[in-house]
Amino acid sequence: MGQDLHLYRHHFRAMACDNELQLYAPDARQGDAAAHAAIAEVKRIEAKYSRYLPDSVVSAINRAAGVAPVMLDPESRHLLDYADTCYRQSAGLFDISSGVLRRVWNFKSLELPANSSIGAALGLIGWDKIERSDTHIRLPIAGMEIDFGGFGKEYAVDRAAAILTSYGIANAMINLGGDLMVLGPHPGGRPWHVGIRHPRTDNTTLATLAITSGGLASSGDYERFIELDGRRYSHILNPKTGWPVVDSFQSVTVEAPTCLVAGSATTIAMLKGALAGRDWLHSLGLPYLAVDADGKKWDTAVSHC
Amino acid sequence: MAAQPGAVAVAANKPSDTGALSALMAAALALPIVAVPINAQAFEWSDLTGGAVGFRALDYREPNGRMHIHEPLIWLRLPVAEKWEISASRTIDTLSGASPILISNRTGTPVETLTGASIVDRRTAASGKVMRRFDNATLGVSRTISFEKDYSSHAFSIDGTYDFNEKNTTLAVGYGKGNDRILSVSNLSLDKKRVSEEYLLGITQIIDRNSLIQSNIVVTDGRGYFNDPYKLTVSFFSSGPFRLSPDVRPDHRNQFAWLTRYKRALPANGAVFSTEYRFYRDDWGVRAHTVAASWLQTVSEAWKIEGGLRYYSQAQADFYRPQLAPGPLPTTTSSDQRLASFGALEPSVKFIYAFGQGTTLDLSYSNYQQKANWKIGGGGSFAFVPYRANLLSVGATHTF
Repeated sequence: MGQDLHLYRHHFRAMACDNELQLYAPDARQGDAAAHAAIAEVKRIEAKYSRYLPDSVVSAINRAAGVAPVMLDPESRHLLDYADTCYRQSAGLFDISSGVLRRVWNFKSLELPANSSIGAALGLIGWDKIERSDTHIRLPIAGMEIDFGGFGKEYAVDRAAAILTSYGIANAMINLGGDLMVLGPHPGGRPWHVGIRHPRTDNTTLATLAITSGGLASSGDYERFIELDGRRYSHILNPKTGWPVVDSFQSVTVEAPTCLVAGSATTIAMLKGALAGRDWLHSLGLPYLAVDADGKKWDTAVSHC
Repeated sequence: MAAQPGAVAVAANKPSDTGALSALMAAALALPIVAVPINAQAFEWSDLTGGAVGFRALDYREPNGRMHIHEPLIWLRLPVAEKWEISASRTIDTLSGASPILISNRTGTPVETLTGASIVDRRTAASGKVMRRFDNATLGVSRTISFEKDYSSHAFSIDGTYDFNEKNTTLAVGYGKGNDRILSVSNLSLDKKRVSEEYLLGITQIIDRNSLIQSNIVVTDGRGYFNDPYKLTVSFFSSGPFRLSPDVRPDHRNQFAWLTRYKRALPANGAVFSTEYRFYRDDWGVRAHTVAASWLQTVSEAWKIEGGLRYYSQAQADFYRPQLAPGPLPTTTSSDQRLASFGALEPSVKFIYAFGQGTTLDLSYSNYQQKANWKIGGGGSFAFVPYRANLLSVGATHTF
């Protein structure tokens, strides 16, 4: 390395999360330029795909449900292609039209929803019902909705990393609310030490990972569940049954070449439940770490003695 | 990595032929993002950074009922402010039984008998440790105290570890000092001291994802009173009176121990294999070799079973004498069987049951047996009394 590199840290709010960017650059001017461009990219993606913002692409698509097709730009088309791949690889469990179930399930209440309201919501779910071409998308039924909550943040991580790369930054870590990408180690090769949050205990770590490059994403129930009559209903909702996944993981963390793939791997594992989820993780061949509903720990290495 | 804006830089370094991963990667890389190699070490579970509490009871029995030790131990480990950790334990030993003495019969052949008196003693021990974690290092300070009616010990130690080579190599160094005070219930005027200093140097090398090798050297320099105040050697001769001689050992002991351990996980079999070799020598003339191997098998989600075998061979101390010849008393002599030449075998089995939610229970049993002719090359000390003991241990751990 021809020149001294200095560490620059940035904290910022976006996508309803506390986010962090740490990068090494030769001076503050270059470091700040790269950081500001990366943060601007995260905010651009948030504005474009947030379901809460009326001007977003997602809001436009949802507003036109049951009415007209909406034209897609290339980025949105590729993101929907990605969502389609997740849908097919998860046999329909990863479905970006399943958000309507959130209106039925209130995890702050202590009551289960009525079967009739679950049934009504199920009628509005189904990625396979959505009409899509290379240029347009149309939600066929009024009330149908899609959202990018399942992968938008992970995509923003990967995009921010791409922006940093374009600024010549080779040693950086970008973390959007726990989903992150390590572009390269600290100068000199020292890895970043990433703590994986404990799903049950606040402010403690479940595990740590020394990582020099790679994308990392975690999903967990983080104590959001309804417990009724001795059964625990997680906030992970199965789009086929309309019911929460029983016996899923408390937490799953996956490492992948992109944060996007890491995130989809964890989400699909949660949807499959602890048993089938482990087979899924195993079949991917990616490093993972998981805690099942009983608190039992699983990872790619066999034992910890 | 000098990629262009939006360019795909490097694909996964672990090619996978699973359809799902290929499909996800292909769809992801249609987007203007970078992919980087997965380059990280194995996840390190934070058992050590969470709190834990445990209980262990050891039951130690000799088949003839001579010595029976019941050792309950309770321990606690607490993380403090992320980087700090304190741990403490407390043990109370209840010892009951007779301490053996060695006598020889009228024909001059030594035999072991039991003294009529039974010793009932209690040992109370407590230890505490404070450890500070740094990015690549740990520093710990500990203190241990132990009391018995006729013995007390105060020890402190300081130890540190340093990780380098991307955390694949860990260097450990330690220093400890112990101050012991030796009293006797049968000789109230006895009040002696013993000081020992211990130095540790160790290295642990991660070979690959599933295996590691560890090597530790411990050097101990001890000075002071090493005699066993209760031990008498009773020697009978074919004519003349019998002779009673006290246990007299050198006033120093320098020990050297070198342990090397290899551990390998076999993920396909759900097993972990460990093997170790330890070499020991001291300036009393004792030389010893230990070879051990164990196999830990995951049977189901809850059950694990470990089987192990340990072999130990020792050559006796220069001053070990099961009986004394007529003539002047040697300057140093001891009939303590622990200083004899012998070999020992200890098969063991351990059952571990995980309840989930951080609670595990384990039960282990081992059968320890030593015999003179089990020493490497056979032979062994004259008049060595074979010895056998059963050890049963129950432990519980809860992490929170």
